[in-house]
Amino acid sequence: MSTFELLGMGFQNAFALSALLTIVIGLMLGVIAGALPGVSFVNAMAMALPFTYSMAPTQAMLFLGAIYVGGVFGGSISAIIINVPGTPASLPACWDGYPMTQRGEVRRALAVAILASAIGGLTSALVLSFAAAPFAVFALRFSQPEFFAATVLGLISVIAISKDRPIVSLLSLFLGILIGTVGVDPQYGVARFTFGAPAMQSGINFVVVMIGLFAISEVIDLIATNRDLRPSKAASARGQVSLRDFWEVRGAIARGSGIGSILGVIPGAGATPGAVIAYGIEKQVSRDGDKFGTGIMAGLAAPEAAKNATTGSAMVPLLTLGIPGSAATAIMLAAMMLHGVNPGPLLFLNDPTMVYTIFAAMILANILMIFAGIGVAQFFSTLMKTPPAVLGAFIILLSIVGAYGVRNNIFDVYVCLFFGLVGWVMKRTGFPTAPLVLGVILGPLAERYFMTSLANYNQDWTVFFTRPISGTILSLAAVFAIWSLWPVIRAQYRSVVLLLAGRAGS
Amino acid sequence: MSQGRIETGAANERAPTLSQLMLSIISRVALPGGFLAAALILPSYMFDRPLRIRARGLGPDAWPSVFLNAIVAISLFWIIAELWALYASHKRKRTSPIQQEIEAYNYSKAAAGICLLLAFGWLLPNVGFPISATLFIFCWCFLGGIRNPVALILVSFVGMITLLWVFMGLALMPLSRGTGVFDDFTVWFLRLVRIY
Repeated sequence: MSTFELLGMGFQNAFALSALLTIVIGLMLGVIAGALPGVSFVNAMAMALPFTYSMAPTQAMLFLGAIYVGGVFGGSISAIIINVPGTPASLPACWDGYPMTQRGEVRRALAVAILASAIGGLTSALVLSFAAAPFAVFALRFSQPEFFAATVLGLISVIAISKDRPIVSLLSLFLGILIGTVGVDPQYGVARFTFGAPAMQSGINFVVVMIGLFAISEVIDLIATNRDLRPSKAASARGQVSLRDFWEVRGAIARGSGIGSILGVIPGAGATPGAVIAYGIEKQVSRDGDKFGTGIMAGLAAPEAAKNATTGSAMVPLLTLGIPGSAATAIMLAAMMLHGVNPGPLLFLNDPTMVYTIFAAMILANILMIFAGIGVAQFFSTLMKTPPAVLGAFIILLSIVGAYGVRNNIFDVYVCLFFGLVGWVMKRTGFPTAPLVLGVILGPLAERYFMTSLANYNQDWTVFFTRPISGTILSLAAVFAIWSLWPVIRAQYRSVVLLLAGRAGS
Repeated sequence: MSQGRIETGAANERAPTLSQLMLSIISRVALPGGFLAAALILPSYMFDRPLRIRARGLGPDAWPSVFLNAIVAISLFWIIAELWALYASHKRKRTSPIQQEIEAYNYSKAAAGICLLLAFGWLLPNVGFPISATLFIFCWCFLGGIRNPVALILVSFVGMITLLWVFMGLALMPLSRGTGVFDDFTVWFLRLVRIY
């Protein structure tokens, strides 16, 4: 069957009433969660996991995919209306979106943001639909060393996530990998770091770690900062929207979509770097570059298109290699594993219906997001009047029930609470949490691929470098690491030189 | 010229006492020092009993050992970097935004929130979900500044029933019912709200 035929079949499934309803509900939840500062779509996805237990695997993926698509956009609603980004990726929306609101052009800003996000997401979904299958065919040549190399590439990406503090990020990553070793070891069946507790033998589930680190720590912060989430009176809806506005930002949307689609494929790059890089490039390219930050539509449209353009392309490594490049795709991986679905190249051969239904749903979700975005933006002011304490209480209960539901085990609740406290301490000390999560997820995979590779190739270490694909990926990982670290190395070198020169001068 | 200005400004500042200097060093190296200590201690707790496997190639301790050693190396590097940064900036005045941020952040509320979370974690398996969730929502909202008793009772009670219905009624999750008399109460309550 050709890609078009498979996609047609996917659309047929996605347009079924239950699937359509799942997408719409997921989108609404995602946009609302993204728009609420302190909730974020990643938390919403983590909290939504228990609801997917009773769903079919495809429906679960549609639900989480729709939350993802809606949530990435949702953060811009609060950024534009109240100058508080709902998600980090929506930060650039504050720079040019909020000044538009201050001028009374809130409707115009929201319309541009919704359209740019939808076009960016749609471009990305098309990239996913047509690029994922050839990539999966290529990935069929992968054996254990190649999967290990790809996992290393995913692990290396944490340096890019927080390139300003690579040492701390690496430490966080290694801690995550170490947490991933708790429980029975995959090759010899020996329990490690269980401290005599039988409950520890089944290991520490990464979903539980994620819920604790992201959701609970955020809620503790919410109550301690007593943030006022209500929009100001200046955000009253006025300012006419015209088709001319959209025509003016067509170039910005195209550039943002392209940048986001490319960056999304790189594990670890994600929506935030995508949006920030697109903003920076647009500032250089635009004729009004010097006016950016004062409410220029191109400055809003480019990052909006870029951040949503990462949603579809971020699923390429997830579905073809089983490697999540971000927290959101990690939750989708968790959902797939909970439903007994193993992502990877074989998924395209064994269950193309599921794969292409997901692709079709991603396209559909980005179109429906326009309506969901408009709807949620209308009711956002009312939502924000909910006291943060009430929101926080329910987020914690949903998180704890979510953690409990992973294995119906009270031990997971304790682990979730523990990592909630750890996450809070990490936030307060500026210790990055994303590398730790990636370490917990990818660490056990890397160990399994590494050990089985050595077992299959007579303990020959060189196999990772002599096999062409594996060697190329590892070389790419090395280049990626050096490229990411280079600005830090250069800055450190300059500071040391300056300090020594200063001492010599005095 | 500017060098001279810096020196003048620094001369006006009081030189840090030994205890202040020690406190500064401890605050900077506490976190990496903790990681270093943990990474040095943990290898002896890797297995509950002595390992009796004759592994061909790498054993089950190989993978964690690599990362424990890496943590030791990075923690040491971090400590050195912190001490170097302290040395490089010992003449600079401590930035005030940190102080402002500490003042804006209500640590006592955060601590109270953490205590509430721990209490909820302890109560959940003992008294069951309905009672622990109601109490938790009530206390959390109170801590968050809601003082209207009607609102507090309504939010916690209606919220708890909604959660029960969603998770135990629709998602059929076996949430904790508590032990002893609390188990009986939870079963009675679940029958009352037509979940059982």
